[in-house]
Amino acid sequence: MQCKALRISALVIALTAFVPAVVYAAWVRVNFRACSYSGSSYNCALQEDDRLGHSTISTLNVHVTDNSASHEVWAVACRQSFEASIGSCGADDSTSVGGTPGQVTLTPSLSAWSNSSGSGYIFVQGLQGSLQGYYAAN
Amino acid sequence: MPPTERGRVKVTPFVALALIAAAGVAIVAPLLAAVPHPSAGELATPPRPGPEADQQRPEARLRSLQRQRVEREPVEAETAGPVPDAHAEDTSTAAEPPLGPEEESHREDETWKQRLTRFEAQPVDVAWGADEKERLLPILNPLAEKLSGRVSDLECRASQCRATIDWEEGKVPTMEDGTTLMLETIPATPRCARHVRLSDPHNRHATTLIIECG
Repeated sequence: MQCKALRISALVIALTAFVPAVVYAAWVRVNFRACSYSGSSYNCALQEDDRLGHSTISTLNVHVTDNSASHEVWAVACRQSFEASIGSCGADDSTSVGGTPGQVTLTPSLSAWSNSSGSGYIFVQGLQGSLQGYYAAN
Repeated sequence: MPPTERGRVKVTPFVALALIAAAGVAIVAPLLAAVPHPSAGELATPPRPGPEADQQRPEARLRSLQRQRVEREPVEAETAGPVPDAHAEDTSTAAEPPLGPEEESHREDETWKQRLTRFEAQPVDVAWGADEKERLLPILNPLAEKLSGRVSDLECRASQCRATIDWEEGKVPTMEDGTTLMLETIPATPRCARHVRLSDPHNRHATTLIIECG
């Protein structure tokens, strides 16, 4: 009986192997504390793994607070090559100077991440406290 | 309880559960892959030509289209949470291991050559080029000096500019310098993509910055 059960189990496992693989979407939400602040900008290394490589990301929301009437906050999605000799940044997205203060979601261009080589990072220019965090998903 | 019955009692539920689970996965998985994404209709719209041509591979084109969709609805996309996508197989590349350093370097070289070719093939728009140079030079010159270099060339065409920065003897530019060049020129040329190569293969003491607008 046990031998029969083992055979059936083996058959089930073998059949399951033929089920088409479905890769589910992945996402990450990163708090600003994971980023470094220097000068007047935040630098966030993109948290990448086998499910969320920078070239697979289709959504990047950078959450910022713009409480300054005279300074804008802008964000860019950048990439640097593995051996750090080539770098790229996509077009930035920014708050508007003199706009209504408050929380804003910036969506910088992801064009620099279309190349799967190297590693991605996010750069946010603004006063300290202006970055809340970011959300990335594919 | 006879031994045979005891064996049946223990094993049968396990086998039944395993069969049900396998059948469930077999039925649900293809259905999930076949369900059209709510915004799949937008995929029919032509892509906005971006500065990074992305070699126009089918999967890259799809990603580009998905980006456009998401850029229009950033907050909704997040609050709704990621949805198993009809084109989820596109993300299968994520499971692939990254290329090795040599392959990556080769790919970067090729991409850079294509970028330079695109710039050199672009016609010259005298008015646009003059405007951009006027905006870029006051930022680039002091920036290069601060980094122990000088702008030896700046050329702007119809939507792209290329700057060459020569470094002082002995200076080895780092990616920190390259990043500074890219980021600190953003106020002069907002909404543009930018690329930097620290050392030109033909001139190891020169860094090239390309700015792509429009």
